[in-house]
Amino acid sequence: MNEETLRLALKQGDKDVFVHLLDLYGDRLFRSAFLLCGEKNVAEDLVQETFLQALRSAKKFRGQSAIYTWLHGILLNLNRKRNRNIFRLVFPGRLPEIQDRSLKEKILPDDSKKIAELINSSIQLLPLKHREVLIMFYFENLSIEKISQQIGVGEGTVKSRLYYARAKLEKFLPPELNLFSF
Amino acid sequence: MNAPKDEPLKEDFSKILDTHVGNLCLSEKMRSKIIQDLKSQNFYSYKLVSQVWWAIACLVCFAFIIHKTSTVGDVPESFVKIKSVTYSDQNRTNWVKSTILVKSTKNNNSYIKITAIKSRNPKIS
Repeated sequence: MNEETLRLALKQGDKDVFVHLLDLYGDRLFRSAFLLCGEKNVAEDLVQETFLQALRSAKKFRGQSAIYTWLHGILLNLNRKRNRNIFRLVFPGRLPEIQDRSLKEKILPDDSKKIAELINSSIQLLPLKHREVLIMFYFENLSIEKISQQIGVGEGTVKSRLYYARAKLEKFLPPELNLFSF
Repeated sequence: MNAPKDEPLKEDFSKILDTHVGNLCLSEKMRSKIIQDLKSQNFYSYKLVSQVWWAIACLVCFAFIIHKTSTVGDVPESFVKIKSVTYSDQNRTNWVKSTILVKSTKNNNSYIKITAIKSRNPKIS
């Protein structure tokens, strides 16, 4: 099934197409959701809700963007909603713990798993709007223009958010991880 | 404030992210749960459910309006009294026999009290 066939099936409200979409994009969405929220269980719930939401609004899909972009947009909205709801929950020990760890731990350049874990926990400390842009640029490999279209802000704003995301991430990461030196 | 810098940096960071999450997949349990949810709640069933909710909401509103108008508007019969009275002018020369209707509403629970002055020989004209 190519993209065009999938779009037609979506417009006709064909529910079988969603099973196909789950096979095609389920894992990719799950990875993106995991980077956004940092927890596997929550990421799974987000993906599940994304597909249900997509099913409900399938008829409204105008086909102006790729299907994955549309699904990813739904995922972003659901994560924002979730973020608003959990915003009042405060975890006092979380920030100092990660900052301490990043400063104390000596990380070897070839310890990619540890680096990745540290980067992931640092990403979770970024404000959501910075996190979204960072993930879309580095993980989804979207261009600045595409990101600006998807989240509905200007290209300058996307660049600015990306700049601040990297600057903040640099503070959370140990000096060995000199990925974001300016 | 020019964020996306050189490509090597972008590639490095993208690779690290891939290393960490590249092997993550939806569990079979969750996959089958999503498929089950999708099949049980298709587009039309969702529309049907929302329509049923609208219908219930409309019925409740309609019942509320009917209830309000039936109790406030017309006075129930038990509160209506028909009285026959005879009245005259101040000189008590011209007497008139008439029927009046005394009404009371249920809400304020008030009655109109009418006292007729009795006369032994009323002249009914």
